[in-house]
Amino acid sequence: MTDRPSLEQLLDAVRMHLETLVIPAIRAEPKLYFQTLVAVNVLKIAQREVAEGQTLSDTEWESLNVLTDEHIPQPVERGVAVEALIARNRTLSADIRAGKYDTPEALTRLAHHVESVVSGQLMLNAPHLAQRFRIEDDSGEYPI
Amino acid sequence: MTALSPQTLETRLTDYLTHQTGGSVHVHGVHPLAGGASRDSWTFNATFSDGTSGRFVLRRDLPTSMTEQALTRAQEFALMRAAYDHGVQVARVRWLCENEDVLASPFFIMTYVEGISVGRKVMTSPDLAAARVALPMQMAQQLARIHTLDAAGLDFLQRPTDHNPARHAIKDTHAALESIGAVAPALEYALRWCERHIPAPDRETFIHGDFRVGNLLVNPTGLAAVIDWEFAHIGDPCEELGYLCMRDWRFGADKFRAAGLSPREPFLQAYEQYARVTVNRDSVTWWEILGNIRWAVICLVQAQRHLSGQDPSIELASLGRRSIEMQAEALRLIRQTGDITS
Repeated sequence: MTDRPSLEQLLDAVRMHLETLVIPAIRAEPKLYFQTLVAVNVLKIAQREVAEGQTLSDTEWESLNVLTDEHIPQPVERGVAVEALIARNRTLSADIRAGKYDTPEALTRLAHHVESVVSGQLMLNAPHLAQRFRIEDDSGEYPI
Repeated sequence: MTALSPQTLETRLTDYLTHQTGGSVHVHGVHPLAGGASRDSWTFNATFSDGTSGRFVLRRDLPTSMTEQALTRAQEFALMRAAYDHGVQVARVRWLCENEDVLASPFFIMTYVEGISVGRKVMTSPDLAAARVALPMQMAQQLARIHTLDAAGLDFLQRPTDHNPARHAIKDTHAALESIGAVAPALEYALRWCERHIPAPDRETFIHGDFRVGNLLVNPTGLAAVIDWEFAHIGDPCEELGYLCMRDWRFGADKFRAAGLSPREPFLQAYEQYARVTVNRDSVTWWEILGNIRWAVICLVQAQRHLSGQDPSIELASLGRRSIEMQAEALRLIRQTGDITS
């Protein structure tokens, strides 16, 4: 196994390269400059996904089990598990659209599930917004 | 589409305007304008044979459009002319050219209006502090006027099926999700909530379709011109009022729902006064929620342009991951209605 540097450290090395060497050198080219800032942000998302992605997938799988009142074991192999999660979400999406969750009790459980999954994904993809939501929730001061 | 240099544009615009005006024209000072994912915009100066001169903006098609619902240049030209004649603050359009031999793709030319459109700058520039105070009322006034524009001669505008804009919008959003094979239970949940709480059809009017900070030219006194009309259509004016309340269009000024510039209620009251109508607040909230859902779906559609190889781009790829921001906001707004179980 090759793990020095680890995958996370490799991504961090690329990010550092872009931030310290490339971006300062291309400030005079607005489009390329902006695109490279976007690329750095994409790398940061990738880093967080490497660190947290598996935990989020595990949590989503268990939340689906609770929602559907099933006890389906998550496949061990990563690629198979990802495909299985997509398949379960495809079924869930079709069921929602077909109105199978339209009872008050099912809607309450469904709302809890999707809010929980989206909250986790927001932390990974847009932690700045997750932080703003947290401040609003803690203070109770929502946009007016 | 062929990339055109400023020098080439200068030459070809000189020839084109000379032909159009019947007198010699001198074009100079051609510069690209920033912004616009689906259009190529330039500014230039022109001096005419009668000694008059002016500054103009050229707006030209790019090879791919943000969505298939965007208008053509000829259509945008026609409705901007109608808006100008109706008294809306909009740049005066002057010449339309659909002959691709001239600049390789259709374009039109309009009078240049000085102002800043970049959302973050509008929200933070010290020079625009007074403008930010004036803008909410100016926006309410312009929207009221836009919503009374007679669209009788604009047959190309999309109209909601069965005179039900809300149901039409949900159907379109489902279709967009299906078109890219997206699997998004949170969006399905939010769309299902919208279906169960669909507002009763109200007025149907002309709608700008993308009215927000970012699509307004702003100078130190406030709104100078409404720009980017390519998503205009016929719909429920509450759609437009809810749309400009979306968090993403507040450009970081989250506290004030109306475009990040004002609390929602005084803004809606101002609109009601100018438009002489009563606005259903629940309907505005519904359209704000649907606006977030649609923007979340558009992000996924844009990412698909990258993934399919149609338009490889780090910007488009990253938009796919931005979808979750609007999904989260839609879920929060639904939760804040206090009604998730009916």
